[in-house]
Amino acid sequence: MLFSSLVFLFTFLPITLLVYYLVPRKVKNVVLLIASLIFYAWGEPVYIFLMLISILFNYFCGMDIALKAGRKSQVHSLIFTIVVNLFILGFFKYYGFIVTNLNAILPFYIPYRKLELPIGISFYTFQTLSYIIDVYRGNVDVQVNLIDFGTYVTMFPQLIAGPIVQYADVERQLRERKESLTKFGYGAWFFVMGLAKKVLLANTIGSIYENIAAMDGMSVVTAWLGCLAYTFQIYFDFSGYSDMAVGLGKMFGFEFMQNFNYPYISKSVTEFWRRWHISLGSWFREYVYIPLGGNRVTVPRHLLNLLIVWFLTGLWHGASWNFVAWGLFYGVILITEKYFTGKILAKLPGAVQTIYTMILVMLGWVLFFSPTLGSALTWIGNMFGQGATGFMDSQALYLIMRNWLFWVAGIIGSTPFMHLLGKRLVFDEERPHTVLAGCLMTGLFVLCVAYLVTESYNPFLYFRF
Amino acid sequence: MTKKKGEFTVLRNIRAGMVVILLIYIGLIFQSKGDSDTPFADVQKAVVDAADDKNMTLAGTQEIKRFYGINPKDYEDITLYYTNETMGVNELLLVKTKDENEAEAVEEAAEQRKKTQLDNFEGYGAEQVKLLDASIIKTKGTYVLFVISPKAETVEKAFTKSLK
Repeated sequence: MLFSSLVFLFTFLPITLLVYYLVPRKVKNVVLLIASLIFYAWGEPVYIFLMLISILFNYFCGMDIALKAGRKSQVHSLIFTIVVNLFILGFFKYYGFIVTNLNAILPFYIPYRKLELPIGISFYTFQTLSYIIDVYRGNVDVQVNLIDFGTYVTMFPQLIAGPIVQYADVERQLRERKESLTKFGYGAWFFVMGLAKKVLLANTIGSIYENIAAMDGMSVVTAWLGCLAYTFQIYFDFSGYSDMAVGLGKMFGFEFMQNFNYPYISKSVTEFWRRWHISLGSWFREYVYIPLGGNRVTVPRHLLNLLIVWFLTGLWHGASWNFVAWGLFYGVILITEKYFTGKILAKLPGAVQTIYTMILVMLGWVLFFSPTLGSALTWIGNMFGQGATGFMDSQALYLIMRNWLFWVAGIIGSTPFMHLLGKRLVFDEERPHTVLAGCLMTGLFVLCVAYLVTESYNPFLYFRF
Repeated sequence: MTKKKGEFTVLRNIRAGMVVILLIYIGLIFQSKGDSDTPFADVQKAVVDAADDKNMTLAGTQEIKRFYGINPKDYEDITLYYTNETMGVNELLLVKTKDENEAEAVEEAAEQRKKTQLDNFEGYGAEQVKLLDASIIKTKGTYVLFVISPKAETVEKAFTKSLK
């Protein structure tokens, strides 16, 4: 079930909200848990059992680790728990990738059965690992209430596409959150804005990308336009979904962290990764980079730490060498900015810094969207004239002129302009325009529903993680 | 001390039990009724009924080779329905491969067919392009489905359901 589907908007969400607000405080987490399990089982009836096994396993392991505080055996329990969690993630996500690569080098063939990827496994496994490690470190109390723990793992607002919620951030909210009309209102606003980003912008711009990707040959400008279209699609798709998750969280009384902070206005790739998929970056920093020593080590070790983190970041995104290449691409750029070009970059005009960043980010997206490394290199080649049908052709002009509104909307939507305008005109703290906000929200929502009813193209790119 | 030791033992046993359950679950996933076990005729009927398009014709070997560049003899079973209409793009391809690893080649052939049709209609066939964009390629086990139809999602659901 997608947030941007009619069954979610008009059936699942209204019923869940109604039941949630009718039941007493003590039962609210039960409602959330059951609703989340239904939400997940709707699309993945087989893999619901895998999630239940993961919940029970981590619940008991958490208790075991907490009980062994101060003992040597505690670290053994931690290692055992981490290994099993990584086995679950590794097996269901990377088994085919590992076997395919082994078959390419071994003198004999290993037959394998292709498994469907359990939706959201990367997200909920990282959440359970966050809990286990925080219990071990003593940062949080062990959760003895199975319902509360299950709610944390399965919460449908962020179950299948994040943001990755670290247990320490929601521990108190599982017990003591406060719902309010204001919070609900802001949540609804976030949700509708996210829905609009996804349905009106991402889906439409995404179909531009799909058309370009289907072309046999392309000019330099067409190649850049295709890359730009994907750049916009993935941002509005993922950030839109994250906004919806944050909005839904607010509607149920939770405060989740923002996952995106206008990454396309960044002035360096380092800054980009502080603004893009913030929860993932935080997770890797907290649970991989810092335990490896972070930057408080020798320079060679620091370089290795960065490369390990970015190798894993790439691999987390998908079981394919081009994702690994994408991760290492960023690792190398970040190292370069940290040790060589950072100070020079900071002295350049802001616009130049942003253009530099966006060119690198867009090249990174080519690695991300290409099915193979070979096709990625071909596309990048086209972007710089290698193998292109020319610099510019009628196709490119047609793509620019026909879709000018979406290019403009994509650029404006990538900046804080609309947010600041909204804050000034609608959400001014001294003079909030409630009626205007309500009309805008309703209008946007109706537009999104109209689009969902008439259009059939409604993918979600980050679903495969 | 004894009480704590007892709790350790209980938790250790529970953890071990959960790992055993996980391994059994993985075994069951592999053992589960293979998609390959469903008769081709049943899957074909399900998807053709779901498409419900009276204007589609059953293709022969020549059409399959011409449109998709694949040889039906290389696969265990294959069926293709294509539209009679001059400006139509509706198609339904259903393939049962001999081995799950062959599915990728069929998917690539379907992608190429989609690309060719998009090139054919780009610029003047807005409805056709829309249908092509919304087309679905789905693989389950040894079965591959490619459908271009206003009812593509319905056909996909029928395909998935028939292989359960």
